[in-house]
Amino acid sequence: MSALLSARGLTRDFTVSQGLFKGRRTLHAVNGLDLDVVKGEVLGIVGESGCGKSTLARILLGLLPPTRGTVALDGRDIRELGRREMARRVQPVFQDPYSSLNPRRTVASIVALPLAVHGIGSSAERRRSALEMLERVGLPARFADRYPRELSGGQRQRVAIARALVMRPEIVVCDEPTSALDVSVQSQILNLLLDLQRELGLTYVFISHNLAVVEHIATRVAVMYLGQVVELSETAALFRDPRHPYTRALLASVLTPEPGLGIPDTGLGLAFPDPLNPPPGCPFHPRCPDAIGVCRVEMPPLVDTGHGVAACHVHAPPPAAARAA
Amino acid sequence: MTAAPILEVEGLSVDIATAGGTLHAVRDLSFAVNRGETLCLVGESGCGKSMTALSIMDLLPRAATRRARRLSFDGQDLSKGRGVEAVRGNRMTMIFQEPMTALNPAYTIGDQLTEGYLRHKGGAGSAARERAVLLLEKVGIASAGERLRQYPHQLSGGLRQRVMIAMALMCGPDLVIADEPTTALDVTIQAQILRLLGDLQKELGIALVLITHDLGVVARLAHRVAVMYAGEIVETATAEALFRDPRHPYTQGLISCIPVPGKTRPGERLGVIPGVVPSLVGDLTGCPFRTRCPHARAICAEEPPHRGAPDAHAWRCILEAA
Repeated sequence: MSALLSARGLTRDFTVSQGLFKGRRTLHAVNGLDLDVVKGEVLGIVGESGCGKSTLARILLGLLPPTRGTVALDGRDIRELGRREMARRVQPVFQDPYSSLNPRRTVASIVALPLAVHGIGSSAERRRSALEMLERVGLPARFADRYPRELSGGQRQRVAIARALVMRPEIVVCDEPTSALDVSVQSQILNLLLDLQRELGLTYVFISHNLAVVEHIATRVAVMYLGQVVELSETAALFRDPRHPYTRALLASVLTPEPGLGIPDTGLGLAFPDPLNPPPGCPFHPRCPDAIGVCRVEMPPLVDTGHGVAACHVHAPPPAAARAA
Repeated sequence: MTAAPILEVEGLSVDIATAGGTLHAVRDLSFAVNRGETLCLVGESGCGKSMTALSIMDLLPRAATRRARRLSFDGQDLSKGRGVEAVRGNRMTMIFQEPMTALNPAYTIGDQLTEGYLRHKGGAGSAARERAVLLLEKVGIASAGERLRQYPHQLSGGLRQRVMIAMALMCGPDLVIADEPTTALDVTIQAQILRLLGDLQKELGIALVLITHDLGVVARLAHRVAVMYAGEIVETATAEALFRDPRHPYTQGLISCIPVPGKTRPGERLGVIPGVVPSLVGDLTGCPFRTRCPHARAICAEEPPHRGAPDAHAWRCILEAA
């Protein structure tokens, strides 16, 4: 498996003002993260608000420079590639189709804009490419000269997808692409994304908080917690045999439409993650039902679980600890 | 169920004046909530589920008007005069979606918890604070005494929603209406809050009307379900019957749309409901779902018949079983 997009030691800090008298603090939104995106896969990234998944998306897109660490596309540092080259090969689809489309442009000109920026083709050719791509995402030509406000949320998200694909990128980074949509529209967009992936041989990084959606679309899943990957595995294996207690809690929280099962106990306490004050040791230990002494002082490394990697002193102990035990 | 329902709604309509004409957000809705049961109102954006809740509480925005043939709480008529004021916030309370905006940032948790209690129940402030501490502990908040002196911004989203729940329970209500109470929360927090809500509903024997778009929440928490589409209830059933044997084509479509780990095959095509919701501005006659329904026929332009048994599994469709 060679990585198409590969992140090493990625850290992104933000300085956060805490109010008039409290001074400033550093927030590690992404904290020493390694990640490989393999050609042709759908890499799901799950985690809750504040875990750094959207910051990671922006770094992978080349929209935000990391504080430390590198991102390489096909082995070349993306700082060398430059923004144009990155934009040609890696494209985004964002969550909110209401704010990610320019309200003053028509649908066709929104989709054709990336081509114009890159100086590809004549204006007529660009319009033709845009119409082709719109057709492909399920928006017939009659939508071409409409404005975003005339479209429904699902139709807008189709426009955003067409805009992302008009440059024929290799990788599409989808950041919560269906979270703002109704379920009947969500299923249309998921079907479309899967069809396009097969037809165009795309690679997706698919960020979501909805595990049922991730299970459906992703081939591998990375679970993030406070800026770090705490578990990464093939999707089916992760759902069958989750190792990290946070992954287990996330899976337990999936409410499948099965009456009579009641609401599961996640086993988590009331503590909530504060990215500004990450606890020492394993960042998850204040909420973890299985935490032991070492979890409070030592950060667990990512360890091979047989079907992936997980960072947990208890459920994925490093080999040395396993021998000692 | 022998006792009379705690809430009876008959022929409820909500109209909203818009620039483009009158929008009929809720159209001739009838349902009842039995004592001690959890009824879920489920539907997608714009189906009128929140407007239904707000109209029962008489909290509609100014541009909206309500009409109802009957709107009674424990036998009392809420639609006339100031009938609602004695029960709202007292025997009938509400939990809103967004605990950050539903709580006043300028007052302490304690002030907000006790305000309604003092207004409805009177008595000393100390008694109200004692009850507030009791309820904060009941919703799982430790060191409740200290929390009373804190402000909303000092609490996480999950804790704020627990405070909202405690507030809704202060006066010992018979009915709680929760409008998407966990939609703004992370999934693990959502599970915790829903579990708490379900436990409290059982323990206290309150009737709970839960408004949600999430079929998973419906299946796990509801005794009975009312599926709403375009301002109407298109199907009602027990949660068990609704998921085992959905009758209305819209309900069937909704259920087929969601991926279910372990059931739907990864990567396979999910069900879709083609088309878009009809405009609710102006008159809408016949079955509101017919423009998107795979079974639609000419006759669907007329009012669809009521099928099934009103107290058990009922739906509105030309078909006995789609």
